[in-house]
Amino acid sequence: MKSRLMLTCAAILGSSALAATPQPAPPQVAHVLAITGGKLLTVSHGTIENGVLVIANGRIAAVGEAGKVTVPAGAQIVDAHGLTVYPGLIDPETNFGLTEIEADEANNDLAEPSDEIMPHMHVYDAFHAETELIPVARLNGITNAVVAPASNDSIAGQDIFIQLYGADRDQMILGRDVALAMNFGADQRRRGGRGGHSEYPSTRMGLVTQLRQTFLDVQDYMARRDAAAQKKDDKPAKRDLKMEALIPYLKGEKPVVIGVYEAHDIESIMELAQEFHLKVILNHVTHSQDVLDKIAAWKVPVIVGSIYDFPKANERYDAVYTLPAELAKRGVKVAISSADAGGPVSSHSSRNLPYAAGFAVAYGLPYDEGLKAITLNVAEMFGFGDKLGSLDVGKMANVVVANGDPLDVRTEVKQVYINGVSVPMVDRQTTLRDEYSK
Amino acid sequence: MTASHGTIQHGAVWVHAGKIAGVGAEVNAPASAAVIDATGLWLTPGIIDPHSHSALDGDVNEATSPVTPAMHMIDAFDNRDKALYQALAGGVTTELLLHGSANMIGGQAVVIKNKFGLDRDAMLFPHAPGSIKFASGENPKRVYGSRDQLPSTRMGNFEVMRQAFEDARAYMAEWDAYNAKAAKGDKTATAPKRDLKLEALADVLQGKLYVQIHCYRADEFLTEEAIAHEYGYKIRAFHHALEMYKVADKIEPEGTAIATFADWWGYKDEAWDAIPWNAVLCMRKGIRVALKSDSNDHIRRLNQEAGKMVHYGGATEDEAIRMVTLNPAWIIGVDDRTGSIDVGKDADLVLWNQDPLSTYARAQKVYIDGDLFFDASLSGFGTPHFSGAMHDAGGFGSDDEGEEDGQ
Repeated sequence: MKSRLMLTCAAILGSSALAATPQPAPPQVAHVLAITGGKLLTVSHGTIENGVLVIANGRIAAVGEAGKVTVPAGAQIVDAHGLTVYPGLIDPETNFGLTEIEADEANNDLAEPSDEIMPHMHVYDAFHAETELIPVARLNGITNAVVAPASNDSIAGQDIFIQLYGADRDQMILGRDVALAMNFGADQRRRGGRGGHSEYPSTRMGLVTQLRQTFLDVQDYMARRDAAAQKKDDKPAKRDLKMEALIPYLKGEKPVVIGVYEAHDIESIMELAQEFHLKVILNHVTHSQDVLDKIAAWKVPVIVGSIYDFPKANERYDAVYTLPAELAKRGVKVAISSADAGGPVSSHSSRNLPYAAGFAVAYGLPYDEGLKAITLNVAEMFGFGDKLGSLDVGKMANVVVANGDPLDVRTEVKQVYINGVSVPMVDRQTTLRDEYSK
Repeated sequence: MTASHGTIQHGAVWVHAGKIAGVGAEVNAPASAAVIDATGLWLTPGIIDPHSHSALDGDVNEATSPVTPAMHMIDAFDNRDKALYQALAGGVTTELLLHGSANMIGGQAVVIKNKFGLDRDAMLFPHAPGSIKFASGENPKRVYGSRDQLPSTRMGNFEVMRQAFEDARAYMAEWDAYNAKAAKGDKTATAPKRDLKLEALADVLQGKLYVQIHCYRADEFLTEEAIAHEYGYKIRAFHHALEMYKVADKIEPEGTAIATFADWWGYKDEAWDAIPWNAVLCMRKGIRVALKSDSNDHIRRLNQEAGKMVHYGGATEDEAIRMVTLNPAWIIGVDDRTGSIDVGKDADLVLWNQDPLSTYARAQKVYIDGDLFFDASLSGFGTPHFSGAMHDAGGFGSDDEGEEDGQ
């Protein structure tokens, strides 16, 4: 991956000169790029059929109809006639850099299973920026993602928000500890067992009680810490990293992403979340059909994933496919993730993110909402709404040029720009393809 | 979209007595024929999945021995499984229900028509050829290796297979000797004891069963073909076949097809070199290519997997649709009966609201043998023949319980 990252200079559409001699990575592109003649899907302000997008210093400098946007003299022109231009896609839940081949345990850093309450696990400590999974997703127009730990724990750790391109980890991580990863339901009862081997907590009652006690402990910790700070003669209290990690979330400063599937589980965990005034993003909710109005009333955003989760026996075949549409109809802000139905390795299929959104459109979600669900809505949910997710002046130039509708499986991405840099359109798979096509 | 002779804009199909009686820009249907106006819709042959483990109530692998050819998947088939319904709603009319990949030589498949709502026997594809599932690579060696049994390596895998065929040859020789004596009127000749396992292996050696092999790696395709030559049987298809693009030139002359994934990769070591261009690259080298689900999830949208082939490698519309209709029909051995819109074939047809190769396509009506089995415009399940309660086997319908095939 490193040698590829060095080849970041000014390659444009269809460039085959990408395999040039490696050279040091340029810090930022200083040049100006104008993508002209394409159909611009701005996400924030509609479609521009014959548009111009100007990129300067890694940011979007201008966007508008041809003729109404001044292309700066000396700008490098990318002819996008017949092509579609849209903001980079954002996958709201991946395990990028936490696993490579999941069957190989040695390279997994997916979750810390020693306890259900692990808020002090920081994904940035494990994130392997050079993973082969990232270029594969990037080639289909995924430019940003949330990386979350796996769902073993009630509180699994804290997420990062990444850029799918950069010289190293520090360039690629745009935000550390952007959200707390929580989970609730049948899967977290992992201490349950037959034959008397169960340990607490082995039921949903246990899981909720454990969470409630944890939050009370943090409130107590905060009170003692504040009191200690008042008394200057006292020696400072010992810092407890687990407690410290939860403070911003109990103060409602950052979002808590709660992975939960069943309607009754959603009701139980939301009761607890409201008791502690958590800033909630609901995740999965694939069997929430009976509580859609409640979700709308709570005014929480929702990540639907996987849209391919199976309906239960004796439900109509499209009971899950229609969920994004049903939620959006009720005014809920919807994001869509790339996961396969129950797929343990969703990050490998992150490249299929746009098709999940397209499928939601097939089942009633308005097209514009479908595109938003994998761009602007995700950016807004995780605190990047002013930087990413739409073609607007001042935003980071994460831009995709494709030969058609981004949500259609037949469409091929032609070029990806991240931070204004034309990204080499190569990954491990194109390399193998080319090697064996000689 | 006929799958055999291109796309007919504004076409018509005449269905009579469960068969396709006419197809073209116009057909000579009698005035009494009921007319279904499909203006603005797309018609394709029914989608065919050559690799499914649906509706087996969890009994995918008899993982108690690496050689279990006497197992018959029909014995586990649950015709009320919801997975069949969900696949039907995705336009799937025929499935090959295979044994899993725990064993080097697994069990014998059952071919079904997805007539959801009819009884078990009415869902069997009449007179479909028999198929047997073989496996290779990581799964058998993991299953038996974890118990400190043979096989725990690829060396062990293939030796177990060869020994099984040696045993079958000896068994056949015993029977040949007996039959020869009996034919001469030798009253002292005693028939050997029938052995179901060896009998099934003899069927393989005599070419009575199509051999369907779970196989990922380039070197293993070559070994499998070499063993097939050594013992004198043909391999009908390699399933998964993710590295076939590396040795397509060598396999093409064998006439072996592949049933592969559109874009799955990286879920285990032997899937690490998977590339989404595999299907089209192999097709261009002359290999017959089908896409398959191996999952209760993807079986519901195999049409989209075909659509991805336009993206990955530039398959034509015709080539893409063939990968989920006529080519899988050939792998199963029913391509003379279904898989394309041609006169004389079974009227297995799907009406779509949009181009079936797009993300947006939804099956509107699904016909099998001319009879309507799914209609999205109906309330409830949309199943004219099914009412009552469906069963749920859990998991993802793959051959390692709770996981996809091969993981």
